[in-house]
Amino acid sequence: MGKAKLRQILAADKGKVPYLEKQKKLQKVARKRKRLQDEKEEEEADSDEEVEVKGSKMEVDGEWEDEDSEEDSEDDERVIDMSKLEDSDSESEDEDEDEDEDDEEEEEEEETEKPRNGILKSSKATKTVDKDEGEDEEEDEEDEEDIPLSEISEEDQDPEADIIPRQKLTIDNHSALQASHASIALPIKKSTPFSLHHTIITSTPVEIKDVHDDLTRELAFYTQALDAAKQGRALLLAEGASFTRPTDYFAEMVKSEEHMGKIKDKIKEEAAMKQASADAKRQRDLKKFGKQVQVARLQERQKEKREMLDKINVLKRKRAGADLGDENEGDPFDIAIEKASKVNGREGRDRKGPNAKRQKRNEKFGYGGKKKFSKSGDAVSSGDLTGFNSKGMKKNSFGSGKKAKAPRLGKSKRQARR
Amino acid sequence: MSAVLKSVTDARSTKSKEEATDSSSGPDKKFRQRVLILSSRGVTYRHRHLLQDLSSLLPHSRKDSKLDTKSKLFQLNELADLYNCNNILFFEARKREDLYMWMSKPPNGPTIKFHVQNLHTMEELHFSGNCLKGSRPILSFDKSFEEKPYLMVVKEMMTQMFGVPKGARKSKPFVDHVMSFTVADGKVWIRCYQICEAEVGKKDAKENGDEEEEDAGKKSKKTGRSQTDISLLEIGPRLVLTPIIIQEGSFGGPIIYENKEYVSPNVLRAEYRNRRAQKFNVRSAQKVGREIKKKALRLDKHRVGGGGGKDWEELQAGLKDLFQE
Repeated sequence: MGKAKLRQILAADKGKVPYLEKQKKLQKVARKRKRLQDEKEEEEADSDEEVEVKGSKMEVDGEWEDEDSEEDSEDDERVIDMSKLEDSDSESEDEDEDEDEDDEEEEEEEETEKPRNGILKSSKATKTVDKDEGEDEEEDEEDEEDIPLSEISEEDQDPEADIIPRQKLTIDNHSALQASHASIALPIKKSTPFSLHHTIITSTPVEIKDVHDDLTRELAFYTQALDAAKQGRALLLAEGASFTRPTDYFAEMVKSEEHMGKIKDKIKEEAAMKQASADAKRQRDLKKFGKQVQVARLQERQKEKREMLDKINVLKRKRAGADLGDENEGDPFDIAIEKASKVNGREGRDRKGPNAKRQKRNEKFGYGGKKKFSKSGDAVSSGDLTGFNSKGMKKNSFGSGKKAKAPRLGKSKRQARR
Repeated sequence: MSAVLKSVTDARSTKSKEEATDSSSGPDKKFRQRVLILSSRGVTYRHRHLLQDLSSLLPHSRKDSKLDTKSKLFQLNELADLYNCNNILFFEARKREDLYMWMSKPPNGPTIKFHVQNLHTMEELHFSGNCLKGSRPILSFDKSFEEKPYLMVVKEMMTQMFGVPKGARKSKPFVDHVMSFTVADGKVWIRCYQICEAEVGKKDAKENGDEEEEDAGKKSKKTGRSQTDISLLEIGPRLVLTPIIIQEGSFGGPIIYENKEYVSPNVLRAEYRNRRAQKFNVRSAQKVGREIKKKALRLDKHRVGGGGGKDWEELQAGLKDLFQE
């Protein structure tokens, strides 16, 4: 690589951040100075500071450079390189003593300072002292300057961050607006009768918290209009102007009869709809309730039926258990049961035929069928056991004497009878 | 009856005039206003109905046929001059959905352009309010109209447009409706209400006031006022106006006000479309990504539903054989 080219590049590079370099150098010097001071204190040298600094700088540098060079080597690399290039091509200078380096650095410093800052050069002695005090400040400054630099570089990297959102320019030319207002304004003064202009301005601005809340918004408008109407009416009446339309004044309206009819229909329809829905709701409720009533009634009926059946069963048992007749309740059901049992019993023989006389005559005069074998037994008569009673077998065959006593029933039966 | 009424009103009006002249001690200046109402081409039925409503509410207006052009609006000045109008209310419809309202004072007054939103005409609003055709409204303005210069201009223009001047040709001498103008959310909200009076003592008080002496009349009026109950019924139409620009001249001249907050409906629609498109783009990108991922994993072959792959073809062939048998 050609020397000149390198130098060019380096110069270009240097040109970009000259003040950084300078600051670094200044910092370095300051640091050295500090150490020097410390050392001086140790040595208890009372001589003039500035002279001391100037005179002993080289030596002290030599003493301290070991540490310094290590610390600052990264910072100073560029400077060193530069000085090398400027002085010679020898690469051995890297291994040179630190003193030389410092020398070169100082030279460099002077060179760089020359074009930039005259003050620094002119008062080098004072500068060193100043730097002791201003070291921290300078560091701060450096930090301050560093941050925006980095920011800038970042912003350069991503272009989107740099785009300012396009904004409409607000034009609000107050003077022109006022002028145009004045040019068209009606000459309304306080003395101008209200009936001429009919305008009312609210005393306080109408404030609507949420414009999208329909109810509050419309209420605000309504109250505004209502206030205006009241005020206007009062003003007009005070001025003696007519306000209310007489009842017999008929004229064309904004909304035609047809339109109003439509509106009326609509309102009626709405009312009817409301009514209908209310009715339907009531009906639904009723239905629900009615069902409950029906269920209750059915249950009641069933209960009655069950009770009745129980009673009947009891009675039947009573009847089956004993001959009864002695302690018969005055139940109408007994009769019914008796009747039912009669019906259920044997038919034919028991059926009432013609009366007795007729029967006799029928027999006598041979009416009605075959007489032959009429007294002889047949299948029916032989199957008929009505006349038979097993208890009769136990009785004496003569039939007289005591009637057989009914046997005593079991306890449960007896209790059931009661 | 009407004759009697006329005589009464005449007497009253002359009286009031005298009073006015006495009080103002200047020339009783009549505010002459005439409004030219017209629209551009391409309005929808709603816009047309709004025009109808406004012209019926403003007896001092002149309705004209649709204007053919949307770019050469200065022609309106000549038109207004032709019809002897000193106000122009021009409705410009765009894309059959957006409505812009231009208000102008023709010879050299300012021009305001509004965007009309939340438009509801009388026809579709089934409000039970109604008022005389040609009665003069009371204009109620929000206090905030006086706070900013541009709103002052807007207020002045609206006063002249919507306020029916006294003694206008078709106007009626009674007051039975209120128009309210409110500024909320940077927009002007317009409502129109009918004034309903409970008739308790109102008429009596008035008659008394006419007949009796002034003091007594005032008293009775006062009592009448306290007795009457005023309520409002909305008439319609409803609309919300967003001011966009104010020009110094009539359909021309420098812009002296521009609303920064106004966003064109076109922009809104475009944004909405973009958002939806973005959704689709993201989804399709995801789909492609998924496909690539699957390919990379070689999942396609083993998937029964997926096409391609040796296994798949074998399976297909097997199935075909099965069904043929």
